[in-house]
Amino acid sequence: MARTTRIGTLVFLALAAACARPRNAALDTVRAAYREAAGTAEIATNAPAALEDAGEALRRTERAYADGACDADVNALAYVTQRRVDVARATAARKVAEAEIDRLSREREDVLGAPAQPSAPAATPEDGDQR
Amino acid sequence: MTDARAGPGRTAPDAIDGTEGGCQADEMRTLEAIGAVARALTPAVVVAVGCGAPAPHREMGAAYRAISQAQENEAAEDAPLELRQAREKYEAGRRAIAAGAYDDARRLAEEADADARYAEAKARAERARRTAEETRAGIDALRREVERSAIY
Repeated sequence: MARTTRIGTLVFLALAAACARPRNAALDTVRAAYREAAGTAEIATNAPAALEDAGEALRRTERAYADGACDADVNALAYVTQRRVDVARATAARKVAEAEIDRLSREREDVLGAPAQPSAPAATPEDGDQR
Repeated sequence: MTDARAGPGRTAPDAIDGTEGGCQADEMRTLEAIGAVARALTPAVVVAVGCGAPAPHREMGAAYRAISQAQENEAAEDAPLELRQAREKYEAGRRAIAAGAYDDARRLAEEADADARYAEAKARAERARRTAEETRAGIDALRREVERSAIY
C-alpha cells in the first residue's frame, strides 16, 4: 500500500515537472538584482519611489511569466525591470551626491566665516526620486 | 472582426426555418448558435492572447517623451551609450510598426522607454557627482587660500 502511494507520488512529481514551465534566466537574474537593490540601505532610503517602480516592473514580469506569455515578452519585461533597478541605483547615487553638495556648501561658509554664494545647485525639496 | 459579423448573420435564416421544424431542427439550431457564439468570440480571444494587438502608439509616444526628457537632461553628454540604445530601439520600433510587427514594436518601445529613463537618471547622477567633486576641490583651494592669508 505504502509502495503504491510512493509510486503514485513519483508519477505525480514527474508529471508536475513535465508540465512546469522551464525557468526563464532573465527573470531569475532581475529578481536577484531587484532583491539586492531593495536590500541595500542606501537605495531603500534615498530612492524609495524608484525602487517601487522596479518592484512594480518585477511583478509585471512575474505575472506575464505565470500567465504563459511568450519568452520574447517575458525577456522584454525583465529588461525593463533591470533598467528600473538601474534607475533606482543611479537615483540613490544622485541623492548621496546632492547631500554631499549641501554639506560642502555649509563647510565653505565655515571656511569663509561668512555666508557664501552657493555655486552648486542644491537639491530642492520637491525634487523627489521619481525621475 | 468579419467573422464576428458573419456569425449571427448566417444563423438568422436557420432560425426562420427552425420555426417549422421538429426536435432535430431545434438541436441543429442550438449547435448553430453555439458555433455563432464561438465565431463571435474568436476575435476577443485572439486579442486577449496578443496576436491581434493594435499598433503600440501609446508605448511609442511614451518612449519618445522619455527620450526627449533624457536629451533635455543632457544625457547625450553624460549617458551617451544608454541614450543611443533608446534611440536605436525607438527607430527599430518605428520600422516594426511599418512592417506590421506590432508585438516587436511594443517590446522595442518599452525597452526604449526604460533605456531613456535610465539615461536621464544616470546623467543627473553623473552631474551631481561632478558638482560635488568640484565643490570639494573649490573648498580645498579656498582653505589653502585662507591659511596663506592667515600666515602673512
